[in-house]
Amino acid sequence: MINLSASWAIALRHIRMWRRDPNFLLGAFYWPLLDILIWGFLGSWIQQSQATQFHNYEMIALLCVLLWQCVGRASNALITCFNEELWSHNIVNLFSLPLRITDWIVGAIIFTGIILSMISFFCIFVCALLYQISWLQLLSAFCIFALPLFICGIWVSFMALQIIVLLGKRSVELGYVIVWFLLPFSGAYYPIEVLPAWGQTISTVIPMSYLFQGMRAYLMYDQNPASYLITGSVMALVYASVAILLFVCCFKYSKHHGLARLAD
Amino acid sequence: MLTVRNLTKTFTSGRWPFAQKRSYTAVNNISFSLKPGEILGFLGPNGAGKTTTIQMLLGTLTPTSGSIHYDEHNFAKQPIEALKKIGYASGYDKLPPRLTVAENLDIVGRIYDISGPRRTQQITKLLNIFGIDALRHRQTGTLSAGQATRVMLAKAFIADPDIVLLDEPTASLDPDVAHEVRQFILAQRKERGIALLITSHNMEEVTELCDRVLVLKQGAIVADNTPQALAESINKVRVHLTVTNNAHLLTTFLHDASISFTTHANQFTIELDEHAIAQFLADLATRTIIYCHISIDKPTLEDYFLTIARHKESV
Repeated sequence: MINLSASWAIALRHIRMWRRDPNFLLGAFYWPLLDILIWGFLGSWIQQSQATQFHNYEMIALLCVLLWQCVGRASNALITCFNEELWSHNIVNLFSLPLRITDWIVGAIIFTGIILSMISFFCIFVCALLYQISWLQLLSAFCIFALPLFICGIWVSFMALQIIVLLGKRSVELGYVIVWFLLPFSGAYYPIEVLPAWGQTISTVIPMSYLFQGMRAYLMYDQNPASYLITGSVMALVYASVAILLFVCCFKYSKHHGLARLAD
Repeated sequence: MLTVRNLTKTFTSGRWPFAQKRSYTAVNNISFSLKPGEILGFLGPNGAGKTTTIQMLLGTLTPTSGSIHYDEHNFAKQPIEALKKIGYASGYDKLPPRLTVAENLDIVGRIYDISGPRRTQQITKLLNIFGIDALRHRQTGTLSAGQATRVMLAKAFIADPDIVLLDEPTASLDPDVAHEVRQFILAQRKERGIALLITSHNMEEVTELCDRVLVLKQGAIVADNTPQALAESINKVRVHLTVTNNAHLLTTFLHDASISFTTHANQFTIELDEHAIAQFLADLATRTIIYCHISIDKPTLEDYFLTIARHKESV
């Protein structure tokens, strides 16, 4: 059972905090903007070479940047939601209120969804402004793959949060690192075929790799991405559900040692 | 209202294979209850287990064994139902610093599921009571320790709780504000019959507020009585003497009799057993030690606390 009022309170707490903190806002918008500039111009240059294997590359490069935000930025924001309670010594305060951990999870996901939507619309606007691409095609392709990749972001963040809820503040950096470890095997910026065999083996168990393959098949070769989309989405859903379940178990286990120690 | 039975918390440290496992019992088989309208003080030296107990009462620390019941709710099985009745404030915790005072209280009100208009009303009422209405739009991180403590107290009372757990509630407050807070607590008890559990190092405050005091030492309850009864359990009194003649004789006498004392010029403060006062005064007369002023301080809760703390150090 979830108390939506409590969940919304958690989302609101983070919205109010982000609104006031230039560091968070800068981090949320600056890095995606930088990615758009670098990958967008790189994409334009490669596309101008008119090599057939790089058909529609500018669009793909930009979409990769946009879609990776759904994983990387979402994971970052979700982890920060929990870390913020540790940094502000609010963890005991918060969980001594009638707040279930499931209420907190829902609230943090709602907040992340809101912040990600803002970042995505900002990025699409910048892409439309800077590059000669069809922003409508960009938006429609983005909409197809964004949700399952957001679920991937939830999976990654709750894997990281399992560590943080057990080890506390000292493991915060480790939590942020996980998503970047998965990036090379996700096929976000290049097809997974370029990876060595062992890398491709790792990719087969990463849901993002199917979704990015699907995106490439759809935009580069005009193929139907349904099979990739379904495989990636089902994997993402299963992984995210298991990760959340394990996080709840870790949270309960952590209470045996006391939540107060997490902020030390 | 609150019933705690055989509550125990044992921490285990050290991780195999790097270190040998060691156990430490922070709270050892304690039982107590809190009735409606009662104010219960929680006293003990640092490390006695007060905060550990409060964390277990809040559900942020799982007990090793024992049970906690809030009315009919078994806390282990129905924590949310129980927490809806509880308010909590601690000097050790903080609220999100970037949010304003009103925003923080609004978030807490929403988590308690208080409706919008009532939430606004409660926030305004409590900000006025604690004298921080002018700080409503200030970010919590910019407040002084005393102001932050008042915000935490407002947070504790926002849902009109039946039970309030306060960990050092007036530690960083000015005496006049601390007095107002105490008056507010007493008024809440009178008007709404709320029960309070308070930890404090301010013995005067505990004496003024609490109906009953639990004294914890090394995780166990060593005393459960009224503040007055605990103070009276100390036999020692302090005798203040202003000596006008033969002060050196008094010093020698006190040394010879191994009586604890302090002296400044011709003023002496002497610790005596209550029943030994008459004999002591007779001894002064015999030794022609003349004094112009005498006063006797009865033992206080602080004396009791110091006795417990000193005993701990000697263990």
